[in-house]
This record gives sequence, structure tokens and C-alpha cells, in this order.
Amino acid sequence: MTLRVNDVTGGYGSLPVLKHLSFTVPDGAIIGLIGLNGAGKSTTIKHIIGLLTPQAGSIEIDGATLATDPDAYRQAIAYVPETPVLYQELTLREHLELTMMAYGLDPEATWPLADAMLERFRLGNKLEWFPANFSKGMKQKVMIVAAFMTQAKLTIIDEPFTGLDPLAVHDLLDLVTAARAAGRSVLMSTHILATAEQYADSFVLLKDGQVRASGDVASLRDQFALPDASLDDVYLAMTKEAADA
Amino acid sequence: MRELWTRRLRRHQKAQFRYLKLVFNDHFVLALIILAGTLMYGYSQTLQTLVVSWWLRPLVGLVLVALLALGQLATLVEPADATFLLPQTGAFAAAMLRARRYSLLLPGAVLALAALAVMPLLRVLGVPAGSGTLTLIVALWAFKDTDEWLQLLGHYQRILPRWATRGLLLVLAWGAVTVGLWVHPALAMLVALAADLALRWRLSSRFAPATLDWLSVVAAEEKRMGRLYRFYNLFTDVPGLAGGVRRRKWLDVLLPLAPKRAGQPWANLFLRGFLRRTEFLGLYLRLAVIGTVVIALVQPLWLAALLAALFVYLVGFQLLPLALAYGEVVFTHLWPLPDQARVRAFIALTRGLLLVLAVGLSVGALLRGRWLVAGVVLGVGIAFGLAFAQWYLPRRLAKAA
Repeated sequence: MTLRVNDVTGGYGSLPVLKHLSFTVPDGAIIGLIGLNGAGKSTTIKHIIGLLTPQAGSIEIDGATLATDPDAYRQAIAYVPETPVLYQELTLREHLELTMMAYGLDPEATWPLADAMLERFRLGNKLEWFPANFSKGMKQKVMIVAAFMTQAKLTIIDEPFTGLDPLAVHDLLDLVTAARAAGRSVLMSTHILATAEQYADSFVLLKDGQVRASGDVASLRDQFALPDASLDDVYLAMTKEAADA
Repeated sequence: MRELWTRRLRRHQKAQFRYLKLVFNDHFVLALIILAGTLMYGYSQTLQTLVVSWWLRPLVGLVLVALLALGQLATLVEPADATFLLPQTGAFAAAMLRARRYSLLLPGAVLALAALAVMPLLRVLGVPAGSGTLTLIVALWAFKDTDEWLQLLGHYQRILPRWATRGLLLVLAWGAVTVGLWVHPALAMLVALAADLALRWRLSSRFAPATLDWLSVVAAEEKRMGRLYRFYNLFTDVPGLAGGVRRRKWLDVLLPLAPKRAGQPWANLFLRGFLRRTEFLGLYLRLAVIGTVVIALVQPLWLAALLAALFVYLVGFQLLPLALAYGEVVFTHLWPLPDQARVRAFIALTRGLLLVLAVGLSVGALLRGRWLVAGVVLGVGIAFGLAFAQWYLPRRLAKAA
């Protein structure tokens, strides 16, 4: 699986938020999408999952775009939004069943996966509850289970760590690294830089809707001429530029 | 607080007028005038031949008490108030008291009209009509005043004793009005004034404005507005109408109607939405029952056929919002399914529901042994339901997408 974002310009209405954005998510990689509030992280994600259509440029997964082969494109993506959105009228079990139906998954093969994840997140005894009434962290766990259950080639997680308890953060990172080990990719936007630095293979640093820099930590150090710097230092350097500019 | 209330009231009234204009459109007003005319004519006819039996007085009392129960305390509180106005809780009592006074206006008018409508009946019951109506109005107003106080105080902690509930007040009002219709409504007036004054007297020493239970006020106001908007929603589209959800586990026996098969999430989702959301199932059943009863009662065949078509159309139209109810859940956009899957599933659900409705509508006529009417209603209902689902819906949903 390769996600290719080619020279994408887009945003809400006629005002472009993203300007000539290009980056690639290769097979079996964890990519961190980093930037200040308003830099365009969520907008980028919305373009990738197809909630927004680029004004110019293209986004393709293994050569398929939303226009040429929408089903194949969507089949390749699972998504965990920043704010959990759930169906008010469905129980936890029905949410998972619905996801299986939507992605055409075999329930026999998928339930063991789902059950294991539910146990891990301590939701195993809540299958008959309405998750719309859960706490934010528990809702987030439901979204994570539904997304990873699909074993989609690309999982996109928007700000995954907020609202999760430390144990759940740890469990989520296990899922993410396991996905990478199985050859799947994860694109996640986050502000928790220390965690990102520890787990992600490379980073895309967004500034004002453009890619300011990308690559692994070593290459970022080179690009900002900051040897021995942490991701945190690089990030601060980038925001300084914004202030000076 | 005073300014806050007037500003909110103005905004609230503006919004209500906008909806009322949509509700009382030309067709509806025409239908209403005809309906009111028939009702009044029927009422005057009934009065002339009325035999006073033992249940008449309790029944009239029940109708009046039902009207008494109608008006709710309109606090116009918003959810954010519980956070932003928290330090102003004590001062907010001023707004609450204004809200209570405002909430008396509309029910007061309705109750006065109801009492006037009862006036000719009083004569039949052997009560002096003039003084009887006047005292009845005062009685109903005093009960309403007590009722609004109870509702307001219910939102403050530990002011009312546990037994002082709206239900008890309504039972008391029912008893007093019924007895009043036997002897003289002045009796009901005395009871109402006694209850009202006793409450106000107790109140003056015990009211503690700082104990307002914000969560309870917010919940009550949301419920009230929800009910209001659901009513408007019968006539027009109300944006952002957030309906609630009930588990209704006993309805799970119907879920196998949508088999859990790959590629079929929409059928599953729509069926659960219909069964568990508060805005659809109840409406469907209510309209079905009303339609069945009305069709069973009307005489001319053409009218029954027309009503069958009308009710099928009404119900079909009320189901439409369900088709778009999931637009805000991103997953429905992400599913690897063609957009047509949603439309197809919704058409299938609507078709099924309208066909069941067509059968239901004909049952009333069938029970009365009017085979022809039942057959025609069934035929028209099925034809109209199919036309609505297969012809109208695809066009309508294509336009809405």
C-alpha cells in the first residue's frame, strides 16, 4: 500500500487551507503528521478520507483515487476521528457488526480480533450498551477497535492520545506497531511529540497548509541544522520561524 | 438577568413566529377552520340531545385537567448556562420568576377559552352559567398558577416536600372541578385558591434562590423544546432537531427483518434508527391509529380513499428525515459502498412500512364489516405507498444529496 498526496490544494469553500501539499505514506510505516493548531492537519486528513475534495492535485492509494475507483479506495482506509462520532441508536455490538457489513468482513474471522481488542480495552462486558453514553475515552476506544478490526491497509488516526488513559495509550501503541509489523500503515496526527518521536518512522511537519519538512528525526535535524535535537526542539524551531516570518 | 430574559424571550418569540407561520400555512388553516366548524356543529347537536349520565361530570373534569396539564414552565435556559451562569445562580431566580409569569399567559388564555366552551354545558348540568363560568375560569387559573410554581420549585433543591408533585395537584384539580360541576364551580375555585395561597405563603419563608439545580432545569427545557420542535416537525423541516434514543429491547425481535449480510449496513442502520429513535416509531403508530379510526368513521367511499392516500403520504413524508439522519457520522461517507446503497435501503424500508400501513388503515373499515371501503382503502394505500417509495423517493433523495 502506498498513499500518495500529490500537489494538493484545497480547503473549505473557495479559501485554500492546504497549498501544494505533497507527501507519501509507504507500506508498513507509521507516519506522524505534526503541526500547530490550524496548520492543516485535520484538513489534510479530511481530504484523504474524502470528506473534502481537492481543488487541485490528486490523492491516490495504490493508484486508485476516489474518482476512479471509490470502493477500492475506501476499502483501503480505516479512520479514527479526533472527536468520537457514534450512532445514538446502536449498541457496541451493533457498531462492530455494522462496520463488518460495511467493509464486507467475514464475521467468523473478525469477531475473535474484535473480542481480543475489546478485552484489552476493558470493553468486553459492554457489548450490549449504547456507546453514545460512554465517556470520551471509552468512545475513543470503540472507534479504535472498529478501525483496527477492519485490518485496512491504511489506518488514519486524528489526535489519538487525548482522552485515553495511560494504559489505553500504551495498548493503542501496541496495536499501531502490530499493524506495522503486519505490513499495514498508520498515519496519525498528534501533539504528543515525545510519543510520536518514539514510535513513528517518519514525520510530515505542516506549517500554514504547506509541508515545511518531512522525513525521520535524523533527516529533520539536518533540514533544520539542529544536530542532536529532539522532535520537540525541531518543532519549536519551526514555530519560531512562523513567528519571525 | 432582567435584560438576559427579555433578550432571550424576544429571540424565542421570533423563532416561534417563524415556525408558526410555516405550521399555519393556507392549507392547514383551511383544514383547521373546517375541522373547528364541524366540531362546533357536532358539539351543539350533541348538547341538544344530551342525557346527563354519571360519567359526564368526571369526563368534562378530565378534559379540563388535561388542558391544565398542557402548559409547561418555559425557562428558555440553555445548556451552556449551567457553566457560564453558575456564579450567578442566586440572581438567576429573577429570570426564573419572569419565566414563570410568561409561562402563565398562553395556558391562561387556553383555559379561559375552555371554560367558555363549557358554558352551555353548565346549563345542561344545572349550574348557573354566568357565575359558574366565571368561577371556573378563576379556579383553572389558580390551579395553573400553583402548577407553574410547583414546576419552578421542582428545580430548586429541598424546598418542596416529596409529596408535592404535579401529579397530585392534577388529581386534586380533577376532583375539585368534578365536584364543582355537581354543586357549583365556586367550590373548585375555593380549593384552587386555598392551594395556591398556601403554597405562596409557605414559599415566602423557604425560597432559597441559590439552590437551583441547573442540570434539572436544562434537561427540562431541552425536553420541552424538543417536544415543541417535534410538533413543528410534523409540518416542516426543523433543522438540528436532536431526537433521543430508547433501547426498546423488546423490539429486537423485529431486527432480523434486516439480515446481517456483508454490504447491507444501511438496511440494518435504518431499521434500528426507525425502531429506536424517538421521533419515528411513535409518530408512525400515532398516525396509523388516527388514520384507521378516521377511515373507519367516515361515510363516503371517495373520502375514505382520499384519506388513505393522505395518510400514506403523510407517514411517508415524516420518514424522510431518517434518510439524511446519518450525514454527520463520517463513517457513512467512508464505507466502501456506492452511494446508491443508502438510497436503495431507505426505499426498501419506506416501502415496507407504507405497505404495512395500507393494511392497517383498512382494518378499521374491515372490523365494521364494510368490505368495499376496506378493499378500496387497501388498494389505494398500496398503490400510493408504492408510488411514493418507488417513484417519488428516488427523485426527492437525489435532490437532497
